[in-house]
Parts: sequence; C-alpha cells; structure tokens
Amino acid sequence: MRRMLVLVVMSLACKRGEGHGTGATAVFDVSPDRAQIGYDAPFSISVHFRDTEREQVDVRWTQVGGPALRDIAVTERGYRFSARTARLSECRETPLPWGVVPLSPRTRGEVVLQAEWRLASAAVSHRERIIVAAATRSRGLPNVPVDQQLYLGGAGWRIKEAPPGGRATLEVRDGVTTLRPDARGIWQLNDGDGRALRIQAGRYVETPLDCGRAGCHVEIARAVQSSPMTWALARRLQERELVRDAPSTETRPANDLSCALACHTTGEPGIHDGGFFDVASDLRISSSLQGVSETLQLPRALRRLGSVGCLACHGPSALPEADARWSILRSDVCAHCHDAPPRYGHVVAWRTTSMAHADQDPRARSDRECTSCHTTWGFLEKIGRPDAGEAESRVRVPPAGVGAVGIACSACHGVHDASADSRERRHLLRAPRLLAMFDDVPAEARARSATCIACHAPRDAARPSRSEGRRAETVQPSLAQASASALWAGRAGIDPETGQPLVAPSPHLAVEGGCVGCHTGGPDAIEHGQSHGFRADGSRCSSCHDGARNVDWADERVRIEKQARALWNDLLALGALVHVKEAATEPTSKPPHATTVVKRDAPMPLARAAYDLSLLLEDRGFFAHNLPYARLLLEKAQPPIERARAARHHHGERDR
Amino acid sequence: MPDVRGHLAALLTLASLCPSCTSPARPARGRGGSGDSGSPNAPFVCAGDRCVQRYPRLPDDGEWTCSDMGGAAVCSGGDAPAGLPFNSPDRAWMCGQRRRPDWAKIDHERVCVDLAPDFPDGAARGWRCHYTTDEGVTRVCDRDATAHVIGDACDQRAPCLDGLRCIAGRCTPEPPSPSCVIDGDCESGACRFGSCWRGPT
Repeated sequence: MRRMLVLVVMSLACKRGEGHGTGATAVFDVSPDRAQIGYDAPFSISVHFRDTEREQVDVRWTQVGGPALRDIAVTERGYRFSARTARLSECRETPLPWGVVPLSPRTRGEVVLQAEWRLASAAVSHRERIIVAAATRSRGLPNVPVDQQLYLGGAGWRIKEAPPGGRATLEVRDGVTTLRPDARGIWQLNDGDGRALRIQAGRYVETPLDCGRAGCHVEIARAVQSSPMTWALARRLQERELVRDAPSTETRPANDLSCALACHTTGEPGIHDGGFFDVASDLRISSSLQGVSETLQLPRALRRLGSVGCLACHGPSALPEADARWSILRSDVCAHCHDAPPRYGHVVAWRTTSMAHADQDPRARSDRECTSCHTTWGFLEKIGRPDAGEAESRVRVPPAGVGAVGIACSACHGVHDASADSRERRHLLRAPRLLAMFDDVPAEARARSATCIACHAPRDAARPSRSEGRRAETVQPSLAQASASALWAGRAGIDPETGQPLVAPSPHLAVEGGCVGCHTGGPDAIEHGQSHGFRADGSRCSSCHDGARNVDWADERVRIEKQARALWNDLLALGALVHVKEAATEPTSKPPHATTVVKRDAPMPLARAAYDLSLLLEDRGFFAHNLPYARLLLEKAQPPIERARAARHHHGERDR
Repeated sequence: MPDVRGHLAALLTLASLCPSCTSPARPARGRGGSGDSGSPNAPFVCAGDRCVQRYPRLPDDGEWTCSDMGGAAVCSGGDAPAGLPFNSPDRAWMCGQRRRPDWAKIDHERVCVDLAPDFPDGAARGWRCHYTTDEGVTRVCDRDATAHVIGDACDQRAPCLDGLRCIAGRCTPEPPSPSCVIDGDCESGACRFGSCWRGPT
C-alpha cells in the first residue's frame, strides 16, 4: 500500500520546475493520504534521493498555491516537511448543503508545494511540485467511489445499514461528519431528524458502460460519442504528439500529462476508486502515459476510463434513486473540473452572476410561472429537452430545503443533447427553438446565444411579432418577464393605440456571437472561463462608438429611465397596474414582473403601454442593447398614459 | 465472416510444434496484434492454487459475459460502451452474431471466442478457469491437473471434449463459427466453444 502511494505521488507530482530530470531522482513520501488528508489535519512529506545517498543537500520548501497551511515545520535539512491543512470553512462556502457535500478542485483544500534543492555537482537547481489536498473532489451525488472520504452536510448522522463487507464508520473531521465507504453497495444513513440518505458506492472500473443499450439511452450515447469530452484524452494525446513533432523546444509541459489526466480521464488520483489512476497503478503503467500516443495503445480497462465519459459526471456504481437525481443539475458536477482557478475559472465566474442565484427567492423556484427561467430543471422542461421525458423532468426538481441551485451549467450546455451532433454545437451549447421575433438573428449569434435569448425575452402569448400582429390586437398583454433580447432585436413592443407590433432596426444583431459577443467579462486572473461572468465588456463598444460620448449616453440613459419610471408610477396611480400582494409587504429590489401585474380590466391602450414600459424597465442594459428602440417604446407609451391622467384630472376637477 | 482460418492454422501449427501443447504466454495484443508496449497483459495474482487476473482480455471495450470452455474463452454480449471515442476490437477473438430462436427478442448480441486466452504460467494444461463478475469481469484459474483442455493428448481410449477433434494425437477445435452461448441456441442442440456442434465427424 505504502509502495503504491509513493509510486502514485511520484507519478502525480506535477513536474513543471526547471532542472527536472537532470540529476538525482527525489521520492516524496506523503503521509497520510495525499489526496484526502482531511481539513485542519496534519500531514508530512519525507524526501529521499535515489541516486545521492552520500551527498546531503538542503531542500527548500515553498507553498506556491492553495489555501495557506498552518503549523509549517521544515526539519532535517528540508528532508521533512510538515504542516496542517486549512479548515473546511476557509476553503468552502458555508452552510454546507445537506447530504454529500460537493467539493471541487478549488474547495478541496488543494495545496501546491514546491521543493527545491541543488546538488553540489549540478549547475542548476532542481524543483519539484507536490500536490496534496484535504479532500478528494466530490460531485455531491449520492453515488460515489469506494475509498472516497465523503463530507456530509446535516447533523446527527448514523449508519443504519452498511453493505456486505462494509466496516467503515462515521468520523467527525473538522466538525463535519465524514464517511469513507470501504465496500461497494448501498450505505443507508439517517440524519438526526431521521431523514434518509442512500449512498451507493462502487468502483469506476466495475461499472458497466452499456448506457446506450437498446431501450435505454440510445440517443444520448450516440450524441455523446462525438462530444469533445469523450475525446478529452484522445485529443490530449494527439496534441502531445503534435508538440513532440514540432520544432519548438518548449515541449516539456505538454509532454507530461500527469497533471492534466485528472480532468481528461475518469477517476480521482491517489485513491483506490477503480478509476484511471488506480487501474494504471494496478497495471504498473505510469500515469504520465509516456510512450502512449493514442488511446488504442492502452489496455482495455484503461481505454474504458480514458475519457470524460458517462461516469466522469454521473459517478460510478449506478444512477441514484429518483429522489436524488435532481443533484446532477447542480453546477457542482461540472465544478469537478471547471472550478480550478486560476486556470479553469468557469464556475468561479458563473458564481458572480445573477444566474447563480436565480432561484434564491423561494417563489422563483416553486411557482410554475417562474421556474422556467429561474431554475435549471424548469428551463430544461421549457425548452423541451429532447432527451428528457416528463417523468425525468419531475425528478429533477430539488427537494425543499436545498436552497438555491441557480441556472446552472446544464441549462446552457447540453453535454449529451441528442438534438444535434455535438460537433455542430460550439461549447456543447444547447440550441432551443426561439420565437418568431428572433428570426432575423444571424445563425452564428443564434448558435452561441440562443439559450440566453430563450429566457431574456418576454414569453407572454400576446407578445407580438410580424406574423402574430393580428392576434396581438385582441389579446390583453401582461407584463414582460425579461426583455434584453427583445430590445436587442428591436422587437416585442406593441403600439398601445393600434396593437400593431413595434419594430425597429437592430444594429447590434451584427455583433458576432450575439449576447456573448459583448457579455464576456468576469473575475480577473482567470485563464479559461472568465467569460462565464457574462459582464458586458464596455471596451467592445469602442470599436464602433466614440468613447467621448459616454457621458452623453449616461445622461440619456438616466433621462429615459426616469421618464419610464414616472410613467410606470402614473399607471399605478391610474389603477392600470397593481402590486402583487407579497410585494406590498416587503421592500424589494425585484424587477417589475415579480412585483406588479396589469389589472384585468385595465383599458387596452394602458395595458399595452404598461407592457411596453415593462420591456424597457426589465432591461437594465436597454441603452446599450438598442437605445432607439427604448426611445420608441417610451414615445409610444406616453400618449395614452398622459391622456388617461388628464382625463382623471378632469374628472377630479369636475367631481370636486 | 470472422477470420477463422488464419487462427485455426496458427493453432494447428502450435499444436504440432509444441510438445506440451499448451497456450504459451502471448505477446500483448494491441490493434493489429502488434504487441504495443502500452498494452501489456494484465498480471495474474496467485494465492495458493488460485490465480486471479483482473482486467482480462475481452473481445472489445464493450460489455461482455464470459466463460471458459476447456481452455477457450467464450464471451457473449457486446453492448457498445457509451462515452468512449472508440470501441476497439481485440483481433485475437473470433466473433459472430449469436443465433437466437425465433421467439427471442434480443438482437445484436455477439459471441466471441479466444482459443488461446491468458493462463497464469502461459500454458492451458493444468488449469481450470472461469470468469467472475463480482469485481468487474475477472478471470480466475485454479490448478487442476485433471482438467481437460484444448491441446490434450488424445487417442481412441482418451477422447476429446465435445467440440474438439483428435488430430495428430491432440485435441484440436473445429473451425470456429461463433454463434451460440447455450445449447438452445443451436438447431443441433449442442453449443461447444461458441459454435453449434453437430456431433463427432
């Protein structure tokens, strides 16, 4: 066991330092388990050199990444390093969700240490990087690998029933109950309130991959075959071959796949989970895969683990019970790899967006009026995900008490969306059908921004378009729920007097990529995924617009917004709009559609004017999306409101 | 049509040249049987008279159910693996479509035969093997000096197992035509070494 650990450490130490491979080979022996030391737990690293027994050197240690270690001690000339890992609360946001706590590369307390030494006979220093972690990554799903230390959110946990051969017990680590399943099968747990948690443990290598067999997920299996995730390892090996053949001398980082494999294969380095690393160790194959240029050269068992396939996201063993399947839609599943800043910051960036909190309001995650654009499951149901049946949609509703899940990765990215060939979908983006008003959106923008457009547009049946104009004349419009895409496209407004669609030019339809052509900003210092912050990048405007006019635009924005709010208040005063009950009792910064409704018997011109104003007020970026259209909406909404106000004033005078 | 003649010829050659008439340890069989260095045989781990090979060779990367018949491996199933870029066949196996009675609704099941699977010491003689699935497909071989296997010495007093022919004093398989798993798959009522067997000829 110990020998295996040393081997694994050797093979996993990311060898990025200069001087590597030019002299003595250092062996780093980490104790305890380097992959899951525990939070707020002591560990030590011993160094010995294979080829220099007689030559003593000083080893210097530096922490180059991860949360700060405590109680650091370097002894025996640096041949021994010891420290204590960070606390869980320093690594992960609290409170912990109930059940299996998701942990990502960012929150697993991963620490990168650098050891540096110089032999008397060598001209350059040697550096090695060692990665240790408090915990292994966890998707937060209840089907888990054997040997993974699980952290459990909740209190009063006890094991009700263990599978045959299961001897593991619950341990409290850093104030959190943990379980390290040591046998495959079902672990029945209960919390202090008697709520049951059914953990299904298994090994990756033992889990069948016949997901695509007849009668099961045939279409999904077909779709996923061409997914870039499926080809993650094959492509990486191919890239290495290309680099090797290239004339550049900068080949070393690309040559060593040790650090990349945790996210290009299935399984966790350093534990006995039947994953790629574990099986490679069994077969005595170095996880750097030196000499392997294509996956076909790997033994069958490794080929089956050599991709980001079904189990890489869904976990080993078997699909969870129906009542736990909702958890696959959490961003934590993708965070398994895409939450490793500064290199992979997709999840970090996403967490800064309002989408990450879209279902924070309990009503937003329960009211069917809201769920289609405030929850991931509701959105998938709305766009009619082809690979989800009705029953499947139902089981994706999180149970009460889970809290906010947000509009997570799988709303926009269909990893195995069978509606189109994965190769035709950039970044595996879904391509939901859009309303007719977006017919003019260029195909390229539609391909990259259709999922944004699907929700950032009014969804009411009365929404007029050129083909639906006649219907719009006779149907009472409600308020727009969201409108950014509609303004951008210069569509969706209604002439309050005639009921005809208000259509205007849309210069920004030409922006490459549509919404994500401008909404690319995110937290600083992220190498990949920064754009998932979706902040508008103002610098993109300057390619067409004169930056000196910013002040003028800001003034114009304030003017329009002020005027729109004044008219909105007029509609409230006139009784054409009313606050919904809960909005009247709680102060809120909620958008108009969540606080206000059109009164059922409001005169049609006022109802339409209210709708037009809601389009404008729902879009905080109206001035950037389509300022002329915002002006048009305001201009058209004004006359009927002013007339009604004047009439009311007149009646008031008369009555007095 | 599986490439059975080449395999059979190789086997007959081995049978005639090798005095012990057992399956020697084979080189790794990657694509094209080229012996890729990255695709070594998974080792047997022995304890007493039992040796266990985790990650044994199988016909391809799909899902298989296997058994050992007289020193030959016979696997059936072959559901394609999901989420992999390729499903790589191992060319040492001879495969065919499983025959099913008219009432059976299962289609596309395949049957594959490897007449020279791995053995702990490289030789079939002296081992009785089977497969288990408790911890994934695992090949388990127990020492058994009485086990009858392909390549046994034979004559009129010592006949071969059904499905084998005594050729030049050695039990040699018929040219395989993999198509069955159980006797019920065959009109002849006998499935031997993955092929329907019409009785001694």
